[in-house]
Amino acid sequence: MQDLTLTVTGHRLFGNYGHLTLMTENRLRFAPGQFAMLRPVESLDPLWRRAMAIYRVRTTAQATSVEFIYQVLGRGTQALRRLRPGDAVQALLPLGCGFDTAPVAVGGREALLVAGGIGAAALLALAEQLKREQVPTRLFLGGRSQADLIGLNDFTALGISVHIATDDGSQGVKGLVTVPFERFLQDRAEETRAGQFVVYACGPPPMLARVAALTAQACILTYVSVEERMACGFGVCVGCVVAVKTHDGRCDYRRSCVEGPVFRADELDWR
Amino acid sequence: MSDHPLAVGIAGLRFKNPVIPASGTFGYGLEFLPFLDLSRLGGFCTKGLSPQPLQGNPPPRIVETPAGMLNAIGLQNIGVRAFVAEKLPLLRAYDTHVIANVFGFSIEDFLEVVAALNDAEGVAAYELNISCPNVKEGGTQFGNDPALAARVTEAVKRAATRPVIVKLSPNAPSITDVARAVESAGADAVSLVNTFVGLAIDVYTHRPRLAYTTGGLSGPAIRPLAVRMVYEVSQVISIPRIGIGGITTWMDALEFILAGATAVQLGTINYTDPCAALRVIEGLEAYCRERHTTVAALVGAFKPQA
Repeated sequence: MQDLTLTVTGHRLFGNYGHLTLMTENRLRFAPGQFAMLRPVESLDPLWRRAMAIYRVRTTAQATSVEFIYQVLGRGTQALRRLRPGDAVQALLPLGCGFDTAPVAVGGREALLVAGGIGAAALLALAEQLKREQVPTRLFLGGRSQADLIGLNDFTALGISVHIATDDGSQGVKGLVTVPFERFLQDRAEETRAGQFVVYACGPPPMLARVAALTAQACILTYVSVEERMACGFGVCVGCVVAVKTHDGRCDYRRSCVEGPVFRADELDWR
Repeated sequence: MSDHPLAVGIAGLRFKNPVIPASGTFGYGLEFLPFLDLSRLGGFCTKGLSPQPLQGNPPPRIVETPAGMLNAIGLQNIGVRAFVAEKLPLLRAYDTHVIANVFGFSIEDFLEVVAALNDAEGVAAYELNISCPNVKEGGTQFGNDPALAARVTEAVKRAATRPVIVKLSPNAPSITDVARAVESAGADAVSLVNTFVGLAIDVYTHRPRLAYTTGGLSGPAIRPLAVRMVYEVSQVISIPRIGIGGITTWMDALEFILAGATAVQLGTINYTDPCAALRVIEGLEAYCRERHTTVAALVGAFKPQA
């Protein structure tokens, strides 16, 4: 974890989203699913940095570029939206525990990625790593409309199969992304039962809850990346907690910034 | 105690500088090791410690507000014994004052925490949290009532082997009455202010934005209120004041010192800028150097009239 001043080298705005590229001369090592806390340098209004999944990292001998895709939701992301090439960004990174690919990298298993909306931004680096590890990978990508299918070209370029769903039917199946996902599990019931799949999901809470319910029923090992409000990102504000089930069946809280943002779905209390 | 321009004395303790990260915003100190050398700090306040570990409130616990935030964490902490066993030994490597923030739901709870800390090496002082607005009992119930505040102060003072700082609530009907009461009860110093009770409402759901409904407001939004309270309290008590409330820069810190604070605590800014305390220290150093003065000489130097 470092607090670095990075320089904006690219910023593409599309629809209600931004694709931000930052550059640093520092070496950066990160795991897919880790995140950063960002703010424009010198800006304390709004007060908090904004938590962003690391979309992609590219390293050369001289420099590291870090990419983020974000949705403009409020004052913090509006401030990020105004960033231009050459501007400085204060970034605390990499933060949190990312996705564990060890369980899927054995026995010819297949990774099923389920992404809803901006949640897809947390999964591209995972898809890249799975490709490096030669793990067969499939993506279920959902969005409100065609324009909300985040990262579609980058996922497709990795050569993985993509199942698309949009709320308005402008591309792929009409409906929620959990619809084609559920159908897939039914069609492949035998492999599901044989423990062939590991699921990685990121998206809005109702989507994650539905994925967790479907995979719990099918006994599929599932990892979800949660998004909670964060003030610090490194474990001290204790504001970003999620409820987990303890061994004696009670509920306890874990910080999504340090113990997460990736959790095993069966650890979380979905009530 | 003016051997160094920034050095100040509080309750017989020498602080190398007046900058102290505030309870609840600095974890147990160790979380900040990637960002700063704890030995640079005058001291720091631990997360509030209770006799038993506390789970805290359900989420959502925090919400950003204009120039500030509301929190209703509910004092989630590992408990005083885990602090003594697991955190304190690691903190002894640093040359700084560890101020243990003490919380309880009853006077007995406060005494139990203090008893567990009394024998532990490496704690410089106790800060009594009688002002947390986010727990149903124990917090404001002590801090809002001068008589109750005095009772808990007196009981802790009798048991404590270390200086006792009482953290005051800005939600008390009269913060000066509470300040006077805890001074009479033997407090060595006061720190002020804790957070202001606030409410944020989601206009789409008509529900509160925090699960606990209300939360404590902190950040730059409260700073002028806090500076005013430090000034008022400084007029009525003679024990040292530690100023808290929305400090983000050395100039903010200096406002509190001029208003009558011997030292300051930094809270919410630690989330946004984990190195903020160092910037404040460096700014105060530069100011004192340029003006050939000391922090001790600036305490209460505010001139209300021309």
